[in-house]
This record gives sequence, C-alpha cells and structure tokens, in this order.
Amino acid sequence: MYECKRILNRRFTLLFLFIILLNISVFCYKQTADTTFEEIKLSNSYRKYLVSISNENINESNRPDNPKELKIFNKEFKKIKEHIQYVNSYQDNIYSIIDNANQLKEFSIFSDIHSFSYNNALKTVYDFSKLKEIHLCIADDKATEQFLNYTNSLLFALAIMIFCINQIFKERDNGMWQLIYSAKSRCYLPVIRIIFLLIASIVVYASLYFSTFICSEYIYNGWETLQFPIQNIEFFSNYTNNCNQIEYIFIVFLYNTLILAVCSMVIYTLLAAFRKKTYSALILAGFTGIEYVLYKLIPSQSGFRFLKYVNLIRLFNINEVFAKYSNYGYGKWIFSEWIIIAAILIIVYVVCSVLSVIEVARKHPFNKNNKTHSFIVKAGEFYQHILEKETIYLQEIHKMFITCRGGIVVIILIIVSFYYTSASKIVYSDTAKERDIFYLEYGGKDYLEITQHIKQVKEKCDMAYVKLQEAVKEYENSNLSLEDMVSYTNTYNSYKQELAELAEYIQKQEYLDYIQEKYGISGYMMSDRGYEELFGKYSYLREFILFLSLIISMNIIIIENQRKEYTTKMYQLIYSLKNGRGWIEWHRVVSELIVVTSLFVIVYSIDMIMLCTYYGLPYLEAPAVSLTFMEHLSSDITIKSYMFLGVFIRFFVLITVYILTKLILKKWIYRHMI
Amino acid sequence: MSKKIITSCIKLLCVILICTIFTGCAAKNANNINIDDQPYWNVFNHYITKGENGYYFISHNYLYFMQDNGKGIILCNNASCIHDSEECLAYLSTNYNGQQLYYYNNKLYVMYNDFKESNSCYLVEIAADGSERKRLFEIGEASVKYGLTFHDNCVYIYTRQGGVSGFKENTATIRARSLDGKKDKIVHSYTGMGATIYALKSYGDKMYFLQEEQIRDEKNLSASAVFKRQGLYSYDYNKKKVEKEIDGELCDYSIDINNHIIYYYVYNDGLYKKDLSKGDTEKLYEYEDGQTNICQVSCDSSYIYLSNEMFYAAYHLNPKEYDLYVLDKSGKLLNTIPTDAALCTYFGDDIYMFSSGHEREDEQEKFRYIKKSEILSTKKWTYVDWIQYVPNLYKITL
Repeated sequence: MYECKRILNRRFTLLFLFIILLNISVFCYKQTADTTFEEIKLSNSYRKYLVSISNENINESNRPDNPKELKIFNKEFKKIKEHIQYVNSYQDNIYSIIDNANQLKEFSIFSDIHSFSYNNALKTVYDFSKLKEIHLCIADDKATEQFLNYTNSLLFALAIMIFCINQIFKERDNGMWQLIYSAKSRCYLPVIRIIFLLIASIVVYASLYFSTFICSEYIYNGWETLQFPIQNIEFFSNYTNNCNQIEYIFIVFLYNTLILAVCSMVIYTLLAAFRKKTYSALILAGFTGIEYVLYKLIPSQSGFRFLKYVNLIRLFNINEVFAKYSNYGYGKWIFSEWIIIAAILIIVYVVCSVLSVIEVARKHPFNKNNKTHSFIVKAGEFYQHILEKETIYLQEIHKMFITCRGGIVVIILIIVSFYYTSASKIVYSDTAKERDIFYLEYGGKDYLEITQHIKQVKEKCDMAYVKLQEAVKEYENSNLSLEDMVSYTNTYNSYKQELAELAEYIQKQEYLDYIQEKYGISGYMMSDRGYEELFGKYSYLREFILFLSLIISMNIIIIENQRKEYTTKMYQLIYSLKNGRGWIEWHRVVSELIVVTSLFVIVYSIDMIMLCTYYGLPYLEAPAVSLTFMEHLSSDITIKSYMFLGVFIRFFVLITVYILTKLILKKWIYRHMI
Repeated sequence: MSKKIITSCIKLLCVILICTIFTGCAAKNANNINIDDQPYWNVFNHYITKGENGYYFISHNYLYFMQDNGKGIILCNNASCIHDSEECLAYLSTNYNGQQLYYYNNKLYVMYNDFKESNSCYLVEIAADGSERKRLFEIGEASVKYGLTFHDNCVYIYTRQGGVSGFKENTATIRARSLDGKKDKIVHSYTGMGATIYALKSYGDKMYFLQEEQIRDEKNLSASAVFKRQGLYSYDYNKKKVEKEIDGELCDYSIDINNHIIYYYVYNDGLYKKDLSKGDTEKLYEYEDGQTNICQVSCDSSYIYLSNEMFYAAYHLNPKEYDLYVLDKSGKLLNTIPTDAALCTYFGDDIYMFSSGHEREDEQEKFRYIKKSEILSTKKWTYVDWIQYVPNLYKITL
C-alpha cells in the first residue's frame, strides 16, 4: 500500500490525466488530419443512408446538389460499393482458400505428411472452415475500423509505465537504497512491485484504450455495428477466429496489456540488474536496434523470416499480426503467429520476474567483495599507477576519451562517416564504366586520338549523308534498286548512331576548346564522373553531414571534458596547482587540438579512401577546370591542389569553431557550472 | 572376461558404423546421376527444370510446379496467399533472372542481380517446396547473360551471349565455383572477337560445350553478325583438361551416354552422328534450305529431336514453318510437330516434351507439353492444367 502511495503521487496523477487527454487529442487530430468535424458528420450521415438502402438499388440513391457535399457523398458511395462487393464475395473467397489448401496437399512437393507445407495446409483448412458459418452484412464499421487503426495508445501507456518504474527506483537517488536492500525480508518487495506493475499495466492501458474507443464511437456513431463479425472489416478478412467486433476489441485489449506488462517487466528487470540507468538504456536501445535491423533487412522469403515477423517492431501494431494469416512450425507442430508471440511474451515475463527477484535478493549494499571485484579494483589501481607516469597531454586525452566517454562519440562519428560516404555511392552503368576506361586509355593531357576518331566518324557520317542524298535522287529517277537504297540508308543510320555514342566526348572536346580560348588553360580530356561526387552538386549533402558531425563530436568532447571537472568539483584541485591555471589551460588546449586534428584526419581519411575505392580519381595532376562543373574556378589550379585547399579550408573552419567554443565555454557556461 | 566382451562390442559397433557410412554414400551418388545434370534441355532458355516428382517452371516472375500427371500449381505453400505481393513465396522480383531456373541436389537455383548496391549477380538457392531462399555467392557482374551447369556439387558459370557484340576482342570463360563457396577457379577461357562459350552440357565425367566468335563487320555496321563456329570441346572433370572433340560449324549437339553416341547438327549441312568409342561419323539427316539451316538437338533413349527455332536469331528471318522434328536413331523423320515461334521449344526428358505457346493471340504465353509416349502420333500440344496461375495483370508495384 505504501509502495502504491509512494509511486502514485500527485505528480503521477497529473501526468496520467495529461497523457489520457493527449492520447484522445492525438486520436482526434488523426481523424481530422485532412478533413473537419463537419465533414466527418456529413460522411457519417451519407454512409448510414447508403448502408440503409444497400439492399435496394444503390445506384439510384439521392445525391446532394452542393459540389462539396457531392464530393464527400461520392467518396462514401465508392467505399460502400467496394464494401458490398467484398461482402458478396467473402464466402466464395473462404471456400476458394479451403479448396486451394486441399489441392495443395495433393501435389507431391507439398504432400509429405511430415512436412510443414502439408500440415500447414491441414491447419489452413481447419482454421478457415470456422469462417464458413460467418455471414457478413453491409454495415457502417468506420468507428471500429478507425479505432483499431490507431495504435499510439500502447506507446503512451508505455511512457506512463516507464515513469512508474522510474518512481520505483527513486530510492537510488535519495539514498534510501542502502536501507531497503539491507532488510532481511527484502525479497517480498520485488514480488509486490511485480504485482503492482501488472495491475498498473492493466489499469493504465484500459484507461487509454477504452477512452479512445468511446471517443471513436462518439465521432463515428458506430455503436450498432459492434455485434457484427470482425470480418466485416476487409482488413480482417483473413482473421480466423469467429467473433464479433466487441469481442475482438477485448482480445486486442488483453493482448496489448500482455505486451505492455512484458515491456514494463523487461525495463524493470534491467534497471534492477544495473545500478546505472545508462547501461539499461544502452542494452534496451541495442536490442531495439537489432530487432529493427532484422525487421528491415531480412527478406520475406528468407529461411530466417521468423525473426522478421516475430519481432518487437510488430508488437506495436498487433492488428497486423491478427489480420495476416501466418503459421510457423516444424513438421506436425504448426502454430499461428500470434500464439507463438504470446508464448514468447509469457516466457519473457516469467523469466524477467524471476530474475528481478533474484537480483534484489542478491544485491546487498555491504556485501563482502568477491574475487572478481577485488581483481577489478587491483587492475584499476595498476592502470592508474601507469597513467600517472605519463605526460599531461596523454592524461588529458585519456580523460577526454575514457573518463568523459568521448570514445563513444568517436565510434559514432566513425560509423556516421562510413555510413554517409557509402550511402552516397553511385553505381554507374556498364556504358558509363566503358566510357571511363576509354578516357583512361585515350584521354588525359594528350587526347589527339579521341579528336581524330571523332573527326573520322564525323567525316564518314557526312560522306554517308552525301551519298544518301545522291542515292535518293537516283532512286527517284529509278536508277537505283530498293535494296541498294536501303543499304545506303542503313549505312548512314549506323554512322549517325556511332556519332551519337560519341556525343559525350564531342561535348567534352568543345568545352576544352572553350576554356583554352577563354582562360588559356589546356584542360585534360577526362570523365566528370567520380569527381562530381567529390566536388560537384552530389557532394553537398555528404560534405555537410560529415562536417556537421565532426563539429558536433568535437564540441561534445570539449564541453564534456570541461564540464566533468566542474560537476565533480575537481577544478578546485586542478586550479590549485603550483604552475597555475594558465599552465594547465595551455596543456589542455594542446591536447584538445591534438584530438580535434586526429578526428579531422580520421573522418576525412575515411571519406577519401572510400571515394578513391569507389571512383578511382584519375588525373589528379589535371587542371580542375577540366571538369565541366568547375568552370567557375577560371584558374589552372590542379585537382590535387584543389583537394588540398578544400581540406585546409575545412580544417581552418574547424579550428575557428573550436576557438569560438572555448571562448563561449569560458565566458558563459562556466558561470552556470560553478 | 568382461574386458573381452567390452572390446568385442566396440569392434562390432565400429563395423556397423563403417557399413552405415558407406551405404549412405552409395545412396547419395545414385540420386545425383539421374536428375541433377539434365543436359537434355534446350540451351537457349532454361525456363523449366526437372525435380524429384515433377517439373519446375519460371514464368513472368513466379515459380510454378507441375506434377507428373500434367497438373500445375504456383510454388507457394500458403493457401491464403493471393500472390500479389513480395511476401509471396513464389514471387521473383525483377532483379531475378527470369529465364534461368535449375534443379540440383533437391534444391532450386536462380540468379539474382543486385543493380543498386554491389552491381553483382548472385546465385540463390531455393528449397524444393519454395519455402525459403538463401543467397549463396556472387557469380559475376550483374547481368542476365549467365548460364549454369551443375556437377558434383559445383556450379559452372558461363555467359550465354558474346562480350561486346563482336566489334572488340573479349575473353569468354567457364568459371567453376563449389556450392559451399570455398573453391573458385576458371577452368577454361577463350579469346576472340565477340567470343562466346555456349551449349554447356554435362554428361557423366565430362562437360561438353561449343565455342564461336560472333564478328561484326566494321564497315557495314548494320549487317548481321558473322558466326565463326569453332566446334565441340569437352572438359574432363577428373583430368581437368579441355579437348577438342569435333571440328566444324556445329550449332548444337546431344549425347546418348548409354550408347556412347553423339548427335550433332552442322550449320547448313544437317544432322550427324559419331560413335565416341569407335570414332565413326555418319550423316543422318540433310538440311532443308530456308527451314533447317540451323537446329537445336536433343535426344532420349528412343528418338532424336530437332528444333529450327534458332533460324530467326541467326538470319533475322522466319523459316517457312517453326517445327519440332522427331527422328529415329537412324535419322528417319517420324513426325513433325508445329511450334509457335522462335525460342519456345524447351525439349524434355524421357516422359515429356515441353514448349510455350498461346491459347489465343491476346493471351500471355503458357507452358504446354506432349507426352513422349504419344510423340509419334500427335501434332497438338496440351496446355498444363494450372490450379493457380498468376495473370500478367498482377504487377507488383515496389
């Protein structure tokens, strides 16, 4: 009781009420995202009217005159017609699925009685046979449909449960932990808390769920249709349980409550196992990340698709699981997807409950140090003994990366660099690659062969054209046969085609002639491809993201480095050193510059190496204006020099940002830290 | 005494174990020879392959299965699936090579082209009931030009068409990769103008293939390719050597492995047979100009089959009629069965002959067959009785 009073305080009550209201508001907002309440009311009335006359000739329905109302009417009319078609063909579809399953079993590849395919077919027949007795009817199911489409209630409920769990572990922040975990009967406490979390999950979710349900029924006025089969809604046509809409709503409520209880239990167990909330958050984030990656990357037809569909991501829209008829199993043991998920959830719940009780029983604030703990302490002392002999620069760098966890920032920065550089890679077509090889073989500074080849083809084309003109005249005078005429035409067309294939080289040549004339620079005949990704318009996003990531990472490391001294009050010791504040500040600046420079080198090395691997980057000694998109340079700076200049400018900007950061830190943030 | 009993039991156990191992190996080998190599199919399209209890087809991005009784079904074991999404187990996206399907060692094999990321072609293994897929390894640059032959847990990869359309010199290769991905080597290469290695067929301990150059005239770019056929070659799997078997302008060939006879068709000449053990050659069938200048060849235990559908590819002209010719082993023409168009006859095994055709002009092509037991008397093809067939209207939008 006291535990409930402690957690369910005024703050919690206000938050709970706020979230219920927020949930309802979000639901109402989603209903009116592209419409208004008046239009919804109008749609409701038209829908009910069309449903009422659906048994007669619906095509003779009375339509409104007002164009706006007519548009709404037509939309509802179309939906009702589709619904009528669905209802009328439902039984046929069910029988056809049963027939398919029966026929499937008779095919030799699916007929092994020990195989999944055969037993799945048997289960399909059994499950869909239950739907033979269902009779659908034309009804206005919009209220139930919109309510079931809305899945945010579970997320809001989870947010409330996380708040509750945080309240439970408040004892760690207010120093009560040692008292509570010293008590002999402390194992009683986690059991109480597990029961509390279960009841809280039910109450919290019921409040959010049914308040949304009432809201939906009120907006769409769908109370009468709750008795109709859930299969009336086309999305649930393959749901193989014979139940009406209200029963289905309760089933979803129970299932989602189980999901909420399990998620709460998992979070509670993680927090019970780890003193630091950061570790629990990291494990949870890591697991969620893995589940997301599995969900996105595993193909639908892979042998591992079980991991894609029985997945945390799908739990937050359980209607999809129910609506999609899917079985898993091995041999004769076949189960529906939702049963497997429910079983896994229950197992996880039980395991987490047991683990959380064991953790509380095991944890004791005045435990004797075990051997592992002693080893860790001794190893830490040895490590500090080595570190104190190192230079101050190394100590500062160690502080930035290890103590202030800058290493994590660096790892994330490296991942971001790899990701964005590889995501921006363009795979060129075979034709483009052949042209690049051609540039390498015959292009460059001396591209006389290309020029001559173009000239040759142009001359052949012109000659073929002249001959064709003569041939036309001869043919008109009946001096030439049709076959010969066709031959002249084919020859001209083939040379024209060859000239068209040389269009890129011709344009390049014209461009090089132009820059020679205008700027007096002898450009190289080379491909723009590859360098477009480095300097051109395709590089802007990548450059921006990499540079921004670098600046953010640098600022995080620098700020955290200083902040740590002030939050731990170590600055009082450090600034009491005999060498003075200036001395330590100077060494710190040098260490930070080493770190900043290293980060810069890492990020842009990754970028350069990957781009080099993808595109090759030939003719680095060529003038940069040889690239058609670099005409604005109007100087003979080489590509290599341009790249170095770019690197230098970026480094200069980075150092400028660093200096600004240091100045801001000194003047403004310090005042808030002390 | 007890020590003696224990020792005797151990010895008996070892004997039983050894016997079990050797029995297992023998059974495995017997399965491979009958079904896996399948050299009787037409080399230009591999839409069909033979499985343990029927035939697999690939058609318009879906996999199908036909039983020995002529009834066909889509290869999806989910009875409630309406086969209109990527989740359908029978669906092959447009990245898959929709012209090549193989069956080997109880698995189906197709090729997948990753044009977006790696620009590579991958070999994909599919379970015999279509229930799962696994990407194995890359077999080259993303392309629809590859053909495959399987033997002894290895896949032999070759490009079916020439390299750069005959204007340049290129190298055609036969690359061998073990199915576990560990071994990878080039077993044969051939360099020439528009060099092509094609018609790879595996018979027993040897793999046979044809080589040719498809040269294009630089001066008359609109002219057709000039084919310089190099003849028939063989690669011995055990000796790992390539030998020239027959010189000449061969279009295609088929080997009766039981009688050690090779039947081969010579361009603008006719059908020949050669006894591989004695080396004697005999002409069986004279070509008919404008009709059978170029033919594909297949054979089974009873008859030899010729198809003139490559005529169009070679001449850019239609022959007088597209036909399937049934000959006896002495070259006597027994039956002529009309086919619809170029490249639609697939040949077949000892039980069925397959092709594709239209029931009506406005319909998409469907698979059809003739039972080999009726091959002499029939002129009409029977369409496969599909329990489920996905029409062309089901286009999955990605």
